[in-house]
Amino acid sequence: MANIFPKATNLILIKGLVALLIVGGLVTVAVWYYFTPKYSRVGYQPIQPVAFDHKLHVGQLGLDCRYCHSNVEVSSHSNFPSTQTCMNCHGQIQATNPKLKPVRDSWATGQPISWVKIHNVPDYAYFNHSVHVSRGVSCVSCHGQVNEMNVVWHNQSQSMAWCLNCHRNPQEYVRPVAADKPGATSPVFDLNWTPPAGKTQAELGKKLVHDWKIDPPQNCAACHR
Amino acid sequence: MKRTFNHPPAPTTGKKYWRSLEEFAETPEFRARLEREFPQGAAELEGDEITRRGFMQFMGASVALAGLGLTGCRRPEIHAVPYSKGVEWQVPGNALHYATAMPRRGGAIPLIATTYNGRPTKLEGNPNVPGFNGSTDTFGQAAILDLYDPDRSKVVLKAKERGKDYIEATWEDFWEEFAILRRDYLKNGGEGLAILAEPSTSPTRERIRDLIQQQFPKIAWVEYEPWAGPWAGSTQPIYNLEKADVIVSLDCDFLGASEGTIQNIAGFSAGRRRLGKTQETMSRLYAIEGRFSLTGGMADHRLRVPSSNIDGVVTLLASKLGVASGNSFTAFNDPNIEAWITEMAKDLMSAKGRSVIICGSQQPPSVHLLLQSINGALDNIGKTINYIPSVTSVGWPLGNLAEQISRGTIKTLFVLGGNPAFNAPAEISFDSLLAKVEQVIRLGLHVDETSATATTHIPAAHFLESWGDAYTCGGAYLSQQPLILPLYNGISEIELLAELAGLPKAKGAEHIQQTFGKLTRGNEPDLITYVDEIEKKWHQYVHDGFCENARLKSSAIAPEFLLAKGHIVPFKPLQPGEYELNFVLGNIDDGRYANNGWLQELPDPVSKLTWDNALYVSPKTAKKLGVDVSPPNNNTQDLPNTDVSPRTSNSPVAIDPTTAFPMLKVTTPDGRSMELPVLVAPGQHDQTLTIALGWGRTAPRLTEESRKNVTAPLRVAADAGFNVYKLRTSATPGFVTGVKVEKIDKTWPLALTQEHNSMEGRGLVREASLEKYHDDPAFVQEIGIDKDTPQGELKGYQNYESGYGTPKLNSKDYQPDRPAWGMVIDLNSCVGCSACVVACQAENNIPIVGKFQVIRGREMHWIRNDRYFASDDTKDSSYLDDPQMLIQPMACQQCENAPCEPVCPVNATVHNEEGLNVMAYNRCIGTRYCANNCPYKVRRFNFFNYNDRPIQNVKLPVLGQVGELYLGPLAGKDGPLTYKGTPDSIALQKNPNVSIRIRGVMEKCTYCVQRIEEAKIDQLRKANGSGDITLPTDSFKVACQQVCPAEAIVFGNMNDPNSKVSIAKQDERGYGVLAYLGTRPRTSYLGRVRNPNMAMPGAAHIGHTSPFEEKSPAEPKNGSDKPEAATTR
Repeated sequence: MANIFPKATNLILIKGLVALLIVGGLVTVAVWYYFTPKYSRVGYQPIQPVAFDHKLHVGQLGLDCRYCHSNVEVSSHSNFPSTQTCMNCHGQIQATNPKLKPVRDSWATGQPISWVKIHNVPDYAYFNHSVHVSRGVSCVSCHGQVNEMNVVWHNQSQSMAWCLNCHRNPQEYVRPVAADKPGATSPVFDLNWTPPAGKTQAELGKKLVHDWKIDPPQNCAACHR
Repeated sequence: MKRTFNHPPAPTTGKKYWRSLEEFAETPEFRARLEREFPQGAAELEGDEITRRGFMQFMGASVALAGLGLTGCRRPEIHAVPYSKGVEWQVPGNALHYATAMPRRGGAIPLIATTYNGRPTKLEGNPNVPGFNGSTDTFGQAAILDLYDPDRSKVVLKAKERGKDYIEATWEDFWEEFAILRRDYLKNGGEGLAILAEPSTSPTRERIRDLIQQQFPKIAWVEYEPWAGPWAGSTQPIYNLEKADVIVSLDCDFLGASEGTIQNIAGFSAGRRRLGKTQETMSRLYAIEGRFSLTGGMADHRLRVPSSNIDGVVTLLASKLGVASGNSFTAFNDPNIEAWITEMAKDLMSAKGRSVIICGSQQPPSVHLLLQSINGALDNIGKTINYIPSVTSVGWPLGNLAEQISRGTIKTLFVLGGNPAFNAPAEISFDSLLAKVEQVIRLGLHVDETSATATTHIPAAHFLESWGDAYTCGGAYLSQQPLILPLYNGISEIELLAELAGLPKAKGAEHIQQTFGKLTRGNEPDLITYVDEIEKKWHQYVHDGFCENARLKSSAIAPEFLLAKGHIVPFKPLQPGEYELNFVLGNIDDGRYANNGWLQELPDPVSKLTWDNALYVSPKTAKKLGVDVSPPNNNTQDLPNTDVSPRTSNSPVAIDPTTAFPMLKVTTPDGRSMELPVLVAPGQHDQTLTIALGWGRTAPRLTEESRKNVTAPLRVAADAGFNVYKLRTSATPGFVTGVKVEKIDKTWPLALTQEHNSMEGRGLVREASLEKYHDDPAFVQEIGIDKDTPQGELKGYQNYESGYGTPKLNSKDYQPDRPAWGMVIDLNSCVGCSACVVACQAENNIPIVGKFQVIRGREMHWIRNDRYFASDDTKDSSYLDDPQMLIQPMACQQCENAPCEPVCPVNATVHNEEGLNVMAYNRCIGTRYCANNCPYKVRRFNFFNYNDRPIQNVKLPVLGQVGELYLGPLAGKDGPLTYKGTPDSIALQKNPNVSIRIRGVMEKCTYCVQRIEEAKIDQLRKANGSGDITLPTDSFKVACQQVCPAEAIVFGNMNDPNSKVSIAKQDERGYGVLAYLGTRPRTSYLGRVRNPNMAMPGAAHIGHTSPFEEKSPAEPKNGSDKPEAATTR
């Protein structure tokens, strides 16, 4: 009896398996990369030209976020501080510390410090800091506990799905904008803030969303123009 | 369920509205063209240098290379660079606004400039200066692009050989030379020294000029302007058009290109808007002109008379009104004219003190004088006309300078601004005269025709880079403050003159402060002392942009000489068969804005011509001369494949027959001749040939070496159109009679947009006479098939749940406390000036595409002004010759049931909760289904990466020469911008709040969603921890609304009952275009009302009928049969 399959078919199984392996491998690699925080840049922690320590300045010394990021309440951009802001203190404190040499050089020459940007919104998305902080979204919601970071890293994925998650469920994140007691920092800028005793974020958030008529836009034009 | 819309059949009676002669004639070619979404070739790659196979190879190679390098896997390190020292007022991300002014021929216009991080991006009108409505015009909008023009001159140039070879010099060299020159001329009192400047309205320049003339008593101070008005140096009238009931325009395009256009449009439209608001009437406009201007389009009655016969019209009118005595009057050949003017004179008499007659600035002074006495006799002075001292400076006329030069007495000539080598009267042949002057020092924005005759060229600063001051044409005193340090090291005219006057070098605004001090404190001779009071006043002046105290006082009394009777004008009627050539100004003014791509690509408001000027002839004359519309040859080849002008190319360029226009040779009586392309213009007088000045700029032909120093001059302007200054002499600045024309065997491609995106006549523009409006204020509902469509479907915005079942957008999510954005465009106010088109371009980062892309129908304007001609529906050419005009601005209608949305496979265009049809550019994959499905044809596709792509042919290592697909204005010309996309300076102009779209992306009007979001964010920020999130009524304007001098565009929140748009939506004249399709457009229009004088000949045809009207059309009987009582005003 003649062979039903020609000789060439002997290799089909092997070829098929190899092809499957390659395809499977590619899919694995793709999922590995694109479906994990690596793709969305979480954990990105570049080395900055000046080893600025947020934990020291915010966590220990208690500087308000807005001392340096002064335009966050009025502008779409939350600005990097100018050299002048650094020199307000470091003109006297640690005035000779070699770690601060780039700052002093910048002050002397007028050449700005070139900080490495960690969070980057694409050019076709228009994010506005001021409207978020003035409507009760804390820095911590998007940037993590910066007050505990020696070197700042990318804490949240900041993908579009992540944006929409909050825009769909604002009650899980919004905080009061006024301080709980006189002299305290506004909960928006107090990165360690927790809801007052006896209240949960869910209850508080629901009330704020209702009282402030919070209705975050979910249409394209809100961010893409 | 699929709905089939049966469009109404073509009308058999009534008036016909058409956009082009082809449409009127309904040729099969035109039908075929209309069926297409884009014109032939627009949507195909055919004819381009890359084949489909080549494209696949190229793409394959790119993908492979991309994979090999794994460049996609690495993130670039991005840096954030803050200021080292904070800058006052500067908040990164927020705009700052400064008041400034744009100096213009005949009077400056007040501006508010928007700057981001120190770069100005947009200019708006200053709403605090009275008379301007906070609006600007096309030139004001486009000025921002001039600032960043990469072709501006950047260095001091010294001639090795004039016109050919220039070397770069330093400013230090120049000032050294200048000091010696000044010292020498101080010794001889300025003998042999001449200054040629443009007339200016700056008091500071006048002050410094006086100082110079004191120091150099023998200096020759010459001023030249190619389009000077008759009033320079004298007393000039100011018109209050809003107070006038009867307005007569004599060869004066006061709504289009003239001095004080913005104020004129604002006043005129206020007079039209009275209708239905404060009164049941509105003003009436008579236009007498040779060509069809915008003013003629707005007119209720229009009479075609050649420009050269306006003197006859004025004389006739004077005799009818009893102003002029004597019968030295030769009658017109056409008896209709006399009948027309008789009735008009009666109307004027009945509106004594409420009328105004305006005359074109190029008419001879005798005509102007006679007209002022007519205005005086009509008791208009002090009511609709006031007088102010002329704001424009005067000097010696150019002729005197030419004479001195030819006698050899001028040794050194400063040419400050202007471009006399280009636009001087033809008989002077000024460019060759300049070669006789030993030393010509040119201060100019560009290295242009005049620079080519100079021994030294120094770069000028743009008005947004320098301090200054100026009067508006109404006499308001404006401040001009710089927004940015000079980009290219230029200096201003005032700085150069101050240097010549030996004044100390100004660090800032010292020269202006000195003038300001004098003007506000009276004429105190001492220099300004910085007492607090003055400083405070000065800061207020710079902050506000104007100073009310320093305004020129207007007078309600005319000077004696104007009203003296007996200015009878000798009149010589144009003989039958004789032609006159009529010069007008177009979109690039007198040529000074020729290198501005926005203005070059802006379609002419009437002819819809871009990138060129052409000779307009009437249909009848075209037929007579054999240059009528049918294509001149059977050349069926495709468009030229390179952006080579037929003028410079050696081989004949293949031209699409639909865009090849025949040419005529025009010869003036003094023997000057030119070959010009012909455009058939309905409404043109048969004996008038009209052409716009300013085109045909040429860059100097420099040697290879010196071209390196001179940055690619005038790439946009060069080879666009024809320089007809060569036909214009000082004796006949406005028109020349006795012109001979003959057909020649040549063609020229013209880029017209009139048929692009046509929607075919379906009751799109609607109009009625005032009489009909009084009978039935809701006349618009009777037009088209609207009357058969349920009201709820037409006015969807009032009833969200009604309308067609599918797709029911937003009905579940819709909340009445959200804003619902809507727009109303009043066709009765809109004059068609096209400022909105340029404003939109500036606000929304819309690119220009170039002449040959426009020919392919790829222009990118988000808002277009459709121009319709209206004539009785008859093939009788007498109505074709004399149609009426209507203009309709057309942008995305933001349909609630948007047909573009369901066909998008990727949901890139969707609705938001506020009724906007939004476009997510980064989601668009460019299928163009949406454009295909849009009944309004308002979507634009980026066929190429117009904003950022190599502008010259690219040579790649493996593939060799890759064809240049973008045949734009900057392509294929020499320059240092090789392999680079947008020049850096152009990128600085872009609005940071709007995405730059790339190739393959659809775009369209979004109601300036960036401004909406900004306003909402502002309110939310204010609301802070409260629920006060409701936007204040009309708290912001969209770009086209803000710029509109006629206030024809109203935008706002329809859910706010107090907003202007809500009120406008209640107007009975409101209708939606193609609303019967059930699209429920958010933009609606208010029908136009014409106000004919029923006693006038032909009045029955005016604004009387509209298409698809079932009622019997108006009897075409002679209007004079009607009783006088029918006259309504």
